[in-house]
Amino acid sequence: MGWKNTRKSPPKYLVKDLQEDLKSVGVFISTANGVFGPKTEKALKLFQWVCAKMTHCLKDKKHYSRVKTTKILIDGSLNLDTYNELTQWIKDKKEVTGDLIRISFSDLSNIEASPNFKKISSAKVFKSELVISKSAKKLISDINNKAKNESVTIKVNQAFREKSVKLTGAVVTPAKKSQHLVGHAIDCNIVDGDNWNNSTSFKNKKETEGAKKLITALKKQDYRWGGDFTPIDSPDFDLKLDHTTFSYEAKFFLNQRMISLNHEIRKEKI
Amino acid sequence: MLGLRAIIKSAILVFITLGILACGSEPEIKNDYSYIKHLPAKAHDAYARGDGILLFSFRKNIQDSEAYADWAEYLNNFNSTSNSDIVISKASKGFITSLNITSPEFSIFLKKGQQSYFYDGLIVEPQVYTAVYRKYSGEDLSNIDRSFLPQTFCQSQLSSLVLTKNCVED
Repeated sequence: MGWKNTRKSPPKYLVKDLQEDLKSVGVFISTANGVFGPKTEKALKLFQWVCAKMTHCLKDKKHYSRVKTTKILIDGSLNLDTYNELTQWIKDKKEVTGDLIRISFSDLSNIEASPNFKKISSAKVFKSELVISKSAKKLISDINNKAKNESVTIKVNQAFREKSVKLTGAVVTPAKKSQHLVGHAIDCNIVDGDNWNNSTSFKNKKETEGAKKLITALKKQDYRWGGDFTPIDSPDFDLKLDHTTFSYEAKFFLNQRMISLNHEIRKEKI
Repeated sequence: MLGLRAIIKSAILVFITLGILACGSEPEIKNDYSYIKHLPAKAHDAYARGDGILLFSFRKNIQDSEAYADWAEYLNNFNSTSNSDIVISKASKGFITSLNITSPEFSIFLKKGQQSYFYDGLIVEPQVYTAVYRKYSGEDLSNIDRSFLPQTFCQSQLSSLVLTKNCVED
């Protein structure tokens, strides 16, 4: 793996130079040592994934639209297509970023922040905004529309979640995998009139009709509801991204990095 | 003859009355605080000081679940924001055994002189912590807070985990 002669071979490229270039575009986070090992291979695969799947990158720290490079192979080996793409990124001073977006609560008719809603640490995000992956934007839009149909209000506790780096105050080990960590999930309560449908309501089968209908409608659209999980997690709705896939790994890296490096997060309307 | 009838009537009445009394009376509950000795040291000290304590339990094989992810997130957040007013600790095996708790995941909130709470399952809503915290801090509870409060129980009844409402310990 690595310097495989797939398709046309790239020109001579020292591994150390390759590592420095991968570092410049933001996918290699180790020290360049001139050895093509698993970290370099993973960085290369990550770069290929970004080229093939992402419609945005950063240029001069600002969001920059790009066209997906569909022909690129996502296999962690250096081929001519990858070489050409990488050299172009270096020339253009481009950098990878995640697909998180900000949505203002004021743009949502039936979704509000709960009193326990916690803003993420990024200075680019306001208290009045929720952060989610662009791929899960439709989840928010669909929840809002279905909630409107059922005349219920959604009170959000959390959407995208930052990976705990420093475990100050941690009494239990934070989860390593979760749909929240890639921005594909939302934790919320369905408020129907004066009734807060919470975990206890669902456990005792005392949820309101509005809550039942909303959940049924969302499940019909292939979203998952945590009330069907084991153990039960009834405030959770998500758009599943299989955490055993490379897409999950790539998105986790990019979206968490986006927050830790304080990248610009685009604001979008529903 | 009349005397005999009167005696039988009285006997039946006494029998029925005793039966009603026997059915209506509560079974004797033994005040068993032996679980206290199974509290982890820091929780034991906190309890003795009059601070609130939260004891939890979970199975390790659920750590890849979404519920675990949410529970861990909100518990850690609560721990970092509760200003040590509530000491949080994993329940020991001895504690679980002494109370005969069969739920694999649970949380128990205890504070001397206050209502105690038992939550069966993982707490995946931060409002639960907020509600108990406010209660133990003597703050006024909103209707929303009340709807998130877990089931109450008497500590004197912990040995059988008899859950009762409005039980305040001495």
